[in-house]
Amino acid sequence: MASAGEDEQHGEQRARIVKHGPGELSGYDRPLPVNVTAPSSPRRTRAFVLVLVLVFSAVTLASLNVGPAGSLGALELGRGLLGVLGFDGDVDERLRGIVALRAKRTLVGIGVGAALAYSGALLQGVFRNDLASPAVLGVTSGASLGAAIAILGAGGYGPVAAFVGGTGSSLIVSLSAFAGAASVLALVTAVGTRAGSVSVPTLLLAGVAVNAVVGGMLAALQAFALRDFEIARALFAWAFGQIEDRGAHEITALYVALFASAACLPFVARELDLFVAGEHDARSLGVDAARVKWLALGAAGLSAGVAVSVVGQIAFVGLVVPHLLRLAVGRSHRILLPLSLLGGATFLVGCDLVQRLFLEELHLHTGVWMSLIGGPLFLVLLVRDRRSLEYA
Amino acid sequence: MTRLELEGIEFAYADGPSVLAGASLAVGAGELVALAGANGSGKSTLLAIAAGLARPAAGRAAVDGRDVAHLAPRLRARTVALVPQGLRRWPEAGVRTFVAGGRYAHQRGLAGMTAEDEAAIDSALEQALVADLAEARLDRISGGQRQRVLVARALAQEAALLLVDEPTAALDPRHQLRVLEVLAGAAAAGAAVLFATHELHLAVQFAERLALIDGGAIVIDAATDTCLESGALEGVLGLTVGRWETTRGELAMPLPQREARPR
Repeated sequence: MASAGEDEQHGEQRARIVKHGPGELSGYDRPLPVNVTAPSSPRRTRAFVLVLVLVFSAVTLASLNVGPAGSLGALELGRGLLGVLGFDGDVDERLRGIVALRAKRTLVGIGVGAALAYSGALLQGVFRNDLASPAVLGVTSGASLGAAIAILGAGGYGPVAAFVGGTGSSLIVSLSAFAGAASVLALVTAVGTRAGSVSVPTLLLAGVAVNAVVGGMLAALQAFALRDFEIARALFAWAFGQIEDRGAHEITALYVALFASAACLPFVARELDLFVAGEHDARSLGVDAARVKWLALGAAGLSAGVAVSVVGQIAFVGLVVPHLLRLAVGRSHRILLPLSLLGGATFLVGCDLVQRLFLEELHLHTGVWMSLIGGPLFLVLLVRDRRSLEYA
Repeated sequence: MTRLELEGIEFAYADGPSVLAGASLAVGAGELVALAGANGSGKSTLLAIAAGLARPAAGRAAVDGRDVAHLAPRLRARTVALVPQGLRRWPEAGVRTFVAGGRYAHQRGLAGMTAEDEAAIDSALEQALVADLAEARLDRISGGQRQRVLVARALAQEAALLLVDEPTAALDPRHQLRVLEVLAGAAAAGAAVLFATHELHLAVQFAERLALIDGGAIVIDAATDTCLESGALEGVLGLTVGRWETTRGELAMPLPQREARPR
């Protein structure tokens, strides 16, 4: 005979069965509370692009207008630009000189900012990680090392280039910087990739190792070159890049590299979107993963390498700009890659402008300034996104 | 019509033991075939080879008579679709955007979606029973829903051969049934479907044929009923076949059974 306690237990079980009986739906068929996607609506993206274009135009004009020689005003600036472009022969020599100097600085800022941010966006897409960037992976220090070797080998650069035969030696420096960037990229990719899948911790640690080794080698080269003040100065400029005093042939090299790597965009943008769940998955959808990877890495190495060869190391543009853009327009590379060109240009020219307006007397290199504001900004982003990065 | 033909497939991972040693299997249009075998028996490898994502050391993997390893990537993806067991990382994308990835092989360059693409996506979402989730975020839906989204993406590829790797692993019973219903629907619509599974009690209710892989080869390839009666499931997978009278009729059930039940 069952005790009262057992009866009670049975009763409870029966009650439970009735509650979840076949007639009643459990959670399965009820729709889950789902969050509607709104990382980027087309309207929001369009508005953002418009704002970015306006800000870009504003900082570019301001950058042309601001300098130690004072503000020029629209009319003077317009005349000066016409003079620089050779449309107006009557322009005052001094005005033409000032505008030419500022135009070069602005062009370098646009090109370098665009190249670094684009390179960062590509690397982050290939390695599927928001922490990848030309600086973190050691690509920019590889470029610096290449450039430093060429500076020593070719006998001088920057201030010295004038009497060593400008174009030739600066082309050697650019090529050597690209070779340095490409070899580091190949090295960290080889170390960080196994059987087609990327190990992000390995990749980042490989970058740390490369940065340390290259840092030591650069210091050794500098010590070696101390006897020659001019060369030591040129080498020092690479450690923290500056965007002023660059020659026309360097600007040409920068833009040729930038256009060449930007030309890869149509062949990698849609594909990098599909890389998100891994190369294997992308391949199953019909992506030629190997081709896309090497094309994207080549373009990233070329743009960052040549940017560094022209101005030296500038940190954080490649890391921060794609990061900020993703917050605004989402993760589609068809939007992100072109916008990183525009966003990087705006960011670097804007930062340079702020420095010239408010911190002129400190005489800081742009690279120093970028590290000082880029570092903390990145830390803020990191803390903000900590949770999502844990899954990376 | 035979869609997939695997003949004498051999495969070994670099400095690892041989995984496949002469596996042969064929799947025809409209067929739903279950591929079963122990852990590490080479099911996923065989699917990867059939999908043209891994190259066999020897043997021939052909889809519609063409060697799948030699197809151009886009053409291959229009011919074979592979549904992975899951993704290591789920993108922060919307379901519809993710399923649209299945249309890559049908698109060119940076051009946007055509009406044909949109229609294929709609129909894939519908077929995989995830149309109501189209605007949801992939990283915020349940595991069972995600599995169907993966199937939807493969359906959007509009490939005649569908390879599915353990579609019911880690799903609750109701979601398991749903995913298999979706696969059966795809086969009924004319696709050749081969799915790897450990859930034989489910597989026998859906698949017309079972292929059992053991020792790197397909050791049994027969109609489901024949397999249930032959004792093959016991030999290869250690399953006992029982017959149950259920409220919906008789059901043959291969299940793992403990040898002796302790008192």
